[in-house]
Amino acid sequence: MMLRGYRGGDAALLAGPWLDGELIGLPLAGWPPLADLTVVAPPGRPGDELCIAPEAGFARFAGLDWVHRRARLETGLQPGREDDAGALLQAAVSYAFGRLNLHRLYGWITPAAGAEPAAALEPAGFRREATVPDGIWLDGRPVEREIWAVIRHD
Amino acid sequence: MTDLRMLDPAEAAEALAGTALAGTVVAGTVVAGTALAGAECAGTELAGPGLAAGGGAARGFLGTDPVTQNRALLAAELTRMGATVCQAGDALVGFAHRPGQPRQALVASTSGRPEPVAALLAFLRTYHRSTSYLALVPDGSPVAAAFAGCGFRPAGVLREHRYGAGQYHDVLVYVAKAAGTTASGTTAAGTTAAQTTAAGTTAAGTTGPGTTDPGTTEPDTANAADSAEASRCRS
Repeated sequence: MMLRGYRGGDAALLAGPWLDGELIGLPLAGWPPLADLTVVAPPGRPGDELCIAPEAGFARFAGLDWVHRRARLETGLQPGREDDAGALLQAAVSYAFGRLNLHRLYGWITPAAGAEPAAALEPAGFRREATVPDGIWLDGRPVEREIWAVIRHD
Repeated sequence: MTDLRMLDPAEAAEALAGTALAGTVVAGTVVAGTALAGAECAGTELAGPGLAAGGGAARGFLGTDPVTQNRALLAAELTRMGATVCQAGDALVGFAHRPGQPRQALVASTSGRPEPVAALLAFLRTYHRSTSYLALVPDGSPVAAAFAGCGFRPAGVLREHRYGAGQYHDVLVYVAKAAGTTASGTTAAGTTAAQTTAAGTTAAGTTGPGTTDPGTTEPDTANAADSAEASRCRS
């Protein structure tokens, strides 16, 4: 999968029924019909880098820290493109280490959202580092969240 | 009980920078002059050990690094993350609410003593209805003792999360639940003080899922919450 920069015509890829700030932003089943879709802001803010996977979704590098050479990765996939999660993550890791010259990439995973994180994350080099109880509000209750990260070994 | 005084971002940056540059707060002892109002300055015989082992106490405070970041950058960082910094006696404590989970607060301290953290937790419990807390502490920091003393438990290690002195360092993740919080994240109403705490049965007894407003303040519960958090830290 090839990532490219954001264009005005990609705006539709930045909205979808996924959890905000999720490392693997898969469309959630049973999204309430009256709930607003999660929307990611177009690029423009310092400290963020937004890449587009054409017709599939996006990868956002948030909180870019050039001193510690790390960023928080967030992705979002459009309905019907769930199978592209692994490829998108690997492309994002390659971009972060090869183009952005980062040392560490991390993100949040919500197991209660139904994703199978290990299947997509481990091939891309991610490891689970921490488990935070009550890390996010989901479906009317606080649920556990995990921090996964991949480190570049120079 | 330790009193809290809110600082605006500029004041907080000033105090953090002063703390780090003077290498002041080590295991809860002020050992050199600081920008903290009301801080007592000890003799120079304590400044040496403080400078040698200190400095690190303020590093990683809410993700900032007062040693390498100037005051303008510190203030900008604290503002960007919506952080609130308070002076608690001779220490600084701070918090920021987590996006997506306003009942969970990211907390930090510059002291290794549990009392300032206890004061912060009591404040968050009573006035912000926080039900859980998260702390990110650089590996080897003396501040870890403060969180351990307040019932925080390790939840993981962020590998090579920080860079300093020519190499990458791990960051420890600590988590804790507010006193009287049940597994569902709400508070146990109607239980006795022996079963939970006074804070858990009054101030946050009406906490509801999805509610993001900090709620009203009940003055008669504030002292109870203080006592509950303080006793929790002592135990």
